[in-house]
Amino acid sequence: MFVIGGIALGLLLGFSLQRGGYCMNTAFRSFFYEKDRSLVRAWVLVLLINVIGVQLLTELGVLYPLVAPFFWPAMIAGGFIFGVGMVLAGGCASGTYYRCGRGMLGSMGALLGFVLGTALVDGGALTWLQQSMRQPTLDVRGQEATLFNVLGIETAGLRWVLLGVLAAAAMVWLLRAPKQRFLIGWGWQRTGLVVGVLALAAWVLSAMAGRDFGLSFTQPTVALTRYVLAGDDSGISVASYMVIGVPAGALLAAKATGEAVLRIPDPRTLLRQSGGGVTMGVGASLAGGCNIGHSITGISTLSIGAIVATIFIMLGSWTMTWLIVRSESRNAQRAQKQKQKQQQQQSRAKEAFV
Amino acid sequence: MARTKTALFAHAVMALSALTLVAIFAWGIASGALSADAIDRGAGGRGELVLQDDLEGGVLALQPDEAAIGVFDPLSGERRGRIEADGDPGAMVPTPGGVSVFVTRDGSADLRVYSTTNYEHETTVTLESERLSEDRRPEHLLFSENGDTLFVTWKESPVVSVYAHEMLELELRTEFEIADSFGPVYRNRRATRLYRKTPDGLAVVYARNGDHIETVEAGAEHWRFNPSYTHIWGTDSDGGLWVVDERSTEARRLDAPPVADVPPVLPSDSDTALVLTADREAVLAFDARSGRALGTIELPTPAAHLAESGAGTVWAVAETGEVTAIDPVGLQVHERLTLEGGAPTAVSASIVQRDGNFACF
Repeated sequence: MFVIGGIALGLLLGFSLQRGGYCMNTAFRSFFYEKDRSLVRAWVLVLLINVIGVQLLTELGVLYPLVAPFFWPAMIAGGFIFGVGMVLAGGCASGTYYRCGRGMLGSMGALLGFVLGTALVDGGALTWLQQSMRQPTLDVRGQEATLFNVLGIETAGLRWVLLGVLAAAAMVWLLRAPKQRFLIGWGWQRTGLVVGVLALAAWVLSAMAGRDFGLSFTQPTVALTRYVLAGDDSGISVASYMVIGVPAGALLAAKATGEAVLRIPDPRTLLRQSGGGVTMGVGASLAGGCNIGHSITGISTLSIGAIVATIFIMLGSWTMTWLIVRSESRNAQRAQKQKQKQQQQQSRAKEAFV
Repeated sequence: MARTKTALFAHAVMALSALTLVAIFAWGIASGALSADAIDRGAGGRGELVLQDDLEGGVLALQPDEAAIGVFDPLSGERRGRIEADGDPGAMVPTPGGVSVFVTRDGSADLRVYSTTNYEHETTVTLESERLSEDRRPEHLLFSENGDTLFVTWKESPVVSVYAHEMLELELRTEFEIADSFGPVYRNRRATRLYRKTPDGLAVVYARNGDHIETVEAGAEHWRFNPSYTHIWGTDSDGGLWVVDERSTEARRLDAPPVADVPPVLPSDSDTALVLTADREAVLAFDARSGRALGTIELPTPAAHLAESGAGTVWAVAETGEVTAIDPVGLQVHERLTLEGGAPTAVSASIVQRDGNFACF
């Protein structure tokens, strides 16, 4: 039952991610460099649904969410590395998965790199790095570092007051959004609503299977890799089946809109994306999660670690984008100068000939 | 033309890879090796028992009649081997990976370490202490989930010693006193909080330095966490059954028939709490989170205590050494076994874990 449920949820998620073009790499990049906040609005809507939904389901006793320990050096470094990696890979973890489904060979290279990167750090040759960076942890007198625990909020009433304030601020920002400038598939409202509801459904389906966490991509990727390569099925859970369903769902969506075309990048791009995938995998395995595990599911529990990791994913993404933009603009300037020089040389040669 | 050939090749590689993966998963699901239910904890009493065969290690049983630790097959109950304990073995705790077992000996501050695969003595470690005198005697041992920490409590002492553990070597990390506390110490999932019985209830302390956080007013003597560490279950000497929510530390005494004053068992494959009735002739099953009663399993022989076998079943061990293997998911008697070597005073599963250990979400 959970196998079918997991795959079905993954299919729906892949379909929605593809239709909404929902990718955190694009979201963070366009927020900062293109001043387009549509995808970030979709993300905030996803968070709004999940933070309130998870809290409500926790109060009702349906969920007992697992909160990642705040191993801050690993979250800071891993988050930053993941952010750098997703720019090079041309998509975040979920973005890479769904783009594979629509036939982007570069994303397939990135996914293989992601698999390699996660395997390297989570049980592979770089396990020592993960272990040493996760040694220093911060907690609140033995309880996980969540916004509630840090602020010493123990009663349900105060918890809802804090959530109400945060939700009101998010709602105001969302409601004041201008009309979306670029629209290919779904708008940010529909994307945020559907992805948000599916992410919340992932919490409920996981809880039914006895897993106290929602949507995630990093651990399921490691688990699937270990199963396929070593026959170790100990990490296979309902989340693994969700991840399997994502590319298939994206393929269905892309087929419906005629976007399912095999796109073969040039070797240089393929290499860059694959390397970006490795970097992204290393970062996610250090930080204990990716743009989904931390930036959606982790933040839903108001985990300080997930919030910090997300901030550093953003910083990594912006830094790498800035480096690429600067490098491209320098290359363009250099090419321009070269062109001018050639033109000058040609005109001098012409004059001399005359 | 070249582009078409490349695309054709890429399509062929992708199709082959996809087919291979589908075949691997189809085979895994069809053979029953792969299932979300097998890994995740389903709701108690609503599913099928998944027996784990071909397990390394076994069920360790302290058998004072033979001054030895018997190692038994978790499914058949056959004795696989015998650990000749040097002196009278007291408490024992397997390492979380299941390859070794640490054993206390009466009259000694040392711990003997034995292999659970070849039953040989591996090493002896001395438990250092800065607070206790030479005549200190370890009483209970508890590992953290990843095995990097060993918590030791001492006979007639409120002191808890915390040791760093690596490759069967122990180094004293810290030591503190939990005022008026006694008996074993319990830990939460990440061993950041410790719990120990006091006359006023269950003391909760910060594991890094022993700072007292609060005392939960719950009178149980024996406590056990559920496998997902959301609730801690306890039994008291008046037949009472207690449940404490780990996060809110809210305690409640369940409205249940009187239970025996022995530790409850919360098997790792199902979020179910099993407790022995006061007359020891039946086992009561509850949902480990909600506390809802799931059913009663009548035992063919009255049991002295319960223990998890590590292979999916729970053992109800009689004073005669007879074992009733219980199916904790289907809530019925699975099989009856007899342990060679006499009745054990303590039973602990020590299954070798070769797989697992995921560090991400």
